Amino acid sequence: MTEIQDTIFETDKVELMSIVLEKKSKHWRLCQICCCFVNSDDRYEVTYSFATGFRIENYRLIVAKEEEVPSISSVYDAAVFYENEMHELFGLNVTDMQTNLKDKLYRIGEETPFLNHLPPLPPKPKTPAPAAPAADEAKPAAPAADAAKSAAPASPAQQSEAAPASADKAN
Amino acid sequence: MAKTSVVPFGPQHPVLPEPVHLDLVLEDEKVLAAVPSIGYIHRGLESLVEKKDFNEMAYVTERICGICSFMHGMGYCMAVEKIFGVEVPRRAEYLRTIWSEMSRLHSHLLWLGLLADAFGFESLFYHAWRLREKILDMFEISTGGRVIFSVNTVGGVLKDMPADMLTAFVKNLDDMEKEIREMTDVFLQDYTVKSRLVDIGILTGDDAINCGAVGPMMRASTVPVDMRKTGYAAYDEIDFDIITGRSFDSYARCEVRIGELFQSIGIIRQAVKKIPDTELTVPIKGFPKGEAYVRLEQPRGEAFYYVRANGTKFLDRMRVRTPTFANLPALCKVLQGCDYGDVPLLILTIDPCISCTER
Repeated sequence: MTEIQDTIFETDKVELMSIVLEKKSKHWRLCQICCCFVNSDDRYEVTYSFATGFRIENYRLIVAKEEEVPSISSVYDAAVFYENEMHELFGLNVTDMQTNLKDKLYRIGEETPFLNHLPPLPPKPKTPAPAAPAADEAKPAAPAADAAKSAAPASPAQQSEAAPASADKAN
Repeated sequence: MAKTSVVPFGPQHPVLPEPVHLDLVLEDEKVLAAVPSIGYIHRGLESLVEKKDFNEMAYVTERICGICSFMHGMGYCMAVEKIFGVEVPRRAEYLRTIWSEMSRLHSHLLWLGLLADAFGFESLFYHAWRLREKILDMFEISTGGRVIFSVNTVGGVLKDMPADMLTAFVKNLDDMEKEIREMTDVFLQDYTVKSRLVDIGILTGDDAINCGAVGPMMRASTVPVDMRKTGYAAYDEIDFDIITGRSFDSYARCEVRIGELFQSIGIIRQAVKKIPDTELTVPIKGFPKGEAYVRLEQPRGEAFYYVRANGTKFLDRMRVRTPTFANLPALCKVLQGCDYGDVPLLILTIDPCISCTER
């Protein structure tokens, strides 16, 4: 099995360009650029992946919501599509893109960026309580002694016998 | 005096299996530049991680595309398994390998049919898809589905292929191999086909790396990279060579895909001989926490899956970088300087899967 390097390095904007130029000079290809918006920290994590042969290295840039990220499309032509996608769908502020498609890469009816656009899920309806069985009018009225007995609360044994019957009715 | 104009291509075009739009800047009949627009079938599948839990997302990722369905589900499950740190049973890995190679077979046969249709060779198109039907029948017998299989789950696979089924499949593939060879010989030797493919859409090795091309698009430019050699699933125990082209053109891309057809049949034979007898899944307890990425070799090239989990049942992020998205810059590169009449064919040589690209 060919060995794979499995690492994510954190970097900053200043170091990013020197990393990109170094990878380009060593004929690494740009594998992908992934944008992730971390809601809890209100920041973007942009991960650049470079690959050569079967080896891959990932460099992560962490930026605040309104911060600008420099484009690497002047070095890697392939970055144009990734950066336009990140700008359009996530609202990441990428500057100096070699080809700025001006939010026309994705022809979608929905407004972009998609951050926090999802409405909250509607609350699930509560399951209704099982209806009490209707009194049968054809049955004669119970005698007084039986009425006194039925007025008393049911014993646990009687309650457990009644519960499956009512559950079946609810189903 | 040369006249420059901008001609829209797509999203609806007879040669396109899925909608993509290109603005072609033409000078008379030569293409100067191509600017793509996508999004006609964007479904926001990546954002569904906010609504579907991590087990359900396996079924969502399968529906990214109907051609690459199995490997999308597999790549996602592999990334989540990596976060959990579980080892999938060996039999499940072999089954995943067999289904992956069957996916590659049906995808390449589909592409060959579309290619033949693109230059008007309809009988060859029907022969390719007739052979593809036999692969889809095998999928239906083994998984219950022809297009969407739903056999991948986090921790393994949900269905088994017993020994008699595997033996029958190998026999079926042995019978098909002769028919596939007769059909592919037409692509490789027919004068009319060669005149439409040879020296059309040349992409050098350096350009392929600079554009970030992957898969047969890159291997046709003599760059020998195939993610199966990293040894995921059961590929670490399978012997195979990386198939590369020699001429950097559309004919080389056709050669590479045809070579991979026979290679896939050989890989399935090896996998059926070596498949061990173990369980199919490992139990998965709790929720994932952490991040992981996985790279697979889909029929169209390297696919990159990134999953980020926060310890709850919903994931933070799921990113799929599909091979067609990576091949878009290479497409724009090969279109520069080509004839307007060759545009549909050149778009087909990247084997576009726009469903995958847009998700």
